[in-house]
Amino acid sequence: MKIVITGHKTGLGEYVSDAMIAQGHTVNGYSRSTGYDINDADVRDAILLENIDADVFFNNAYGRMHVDFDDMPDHWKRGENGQLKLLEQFCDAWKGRTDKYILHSGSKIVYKNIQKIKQVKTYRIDKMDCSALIKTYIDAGLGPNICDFSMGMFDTPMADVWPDYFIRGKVEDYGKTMVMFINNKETIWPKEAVFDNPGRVEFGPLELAKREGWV
Amino acid sequence: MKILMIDDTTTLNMALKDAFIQKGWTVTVANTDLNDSQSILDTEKYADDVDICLNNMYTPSNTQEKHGQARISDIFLDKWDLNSVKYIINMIDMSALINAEDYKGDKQVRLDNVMFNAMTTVFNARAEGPNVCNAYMDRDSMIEAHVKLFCHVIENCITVWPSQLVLNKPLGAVA
Repeated sequence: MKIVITGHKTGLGEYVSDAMIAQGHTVNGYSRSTGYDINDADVRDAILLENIDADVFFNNAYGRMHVDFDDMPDHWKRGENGQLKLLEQFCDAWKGRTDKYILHSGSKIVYKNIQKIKQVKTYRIDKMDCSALIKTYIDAGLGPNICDFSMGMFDTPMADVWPDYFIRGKVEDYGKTMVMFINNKETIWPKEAVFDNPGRVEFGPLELAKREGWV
Repeated sequence: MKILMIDDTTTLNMALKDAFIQKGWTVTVANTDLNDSQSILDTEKYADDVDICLNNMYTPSNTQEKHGQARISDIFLDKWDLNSVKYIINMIDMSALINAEDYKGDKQVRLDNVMFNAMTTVFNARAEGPNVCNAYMDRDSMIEAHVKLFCHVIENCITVWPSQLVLNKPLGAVA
């Protein structure tokens, strides 16, 4: 099968890319480090154009690299959520196609009531926007098949902004579940999957926020 | 891995049991009568000896009480409170996620499952154990795929755990 992966050079994208290539599949990978910034509209158009015939789109890369607005390049501050835009483009292009699959890297943060924590507010809203868009397409029931795969924290560079005492899972533990979903896509396809690190965090988000001086 | 199954009589539950045993896991079957309060309460006796409770049987409530599957969940949530190395998988009928006006099946079945869903979802918002997975599914279909998926989930439960899985047939798949 032919798989499109954004953010294929690090973390989860790299794991899934390597695993699918090892299985003999064709992977077209796009990463900022290889010149593909999904916050650029021209780049998104190019990715879609090159992969309209793909079987699976792994919408993995999150457009904004840092959650702190002050550190963001100017074009990110314009409010672009590259992951959402690219998701929408593939959903539209594949509308009505039941033979196409989109696996979306979501976050468990959308289920948590921590909007008062300003450091991750943008990230949470971006991910919520993606989940809301996915729901509209799933409810329409026309295709493509979409899975909103929400995850807890694991050891990627993006997790570095969080305090050390947060439990972090391993990329491969989440990755092998994604690979299993892709490999079994024709028999079972979860519309929604929420995965986290067992054992949970040691204390609730409010206590965490107090410790960090965020509230 | 020590697994408690509430039931092993349906096609899916039989297939799951066989697969678990093939994996080398220890399987105990409670064979709980979900319409009998004492039988439900007796299920607690397994709690200390197992790691996972597969809450895999639903029968409509024959009284005004909470239905049996929800009561099983209650028992294990209580018994394993704050225990992060215990796991509960609730197999919930997909009707729990369908709007009342769109649902064509048995109203009582939907109501039971909506209530069960609400109860366990509230629990899942907490940050303490046990680890709970709500799996929304049609238990009479996709047997092989369900078996493969649940084996994967259990096999990896120490490192990654799904709190929620909405398990569908892909669009356009042949029934």
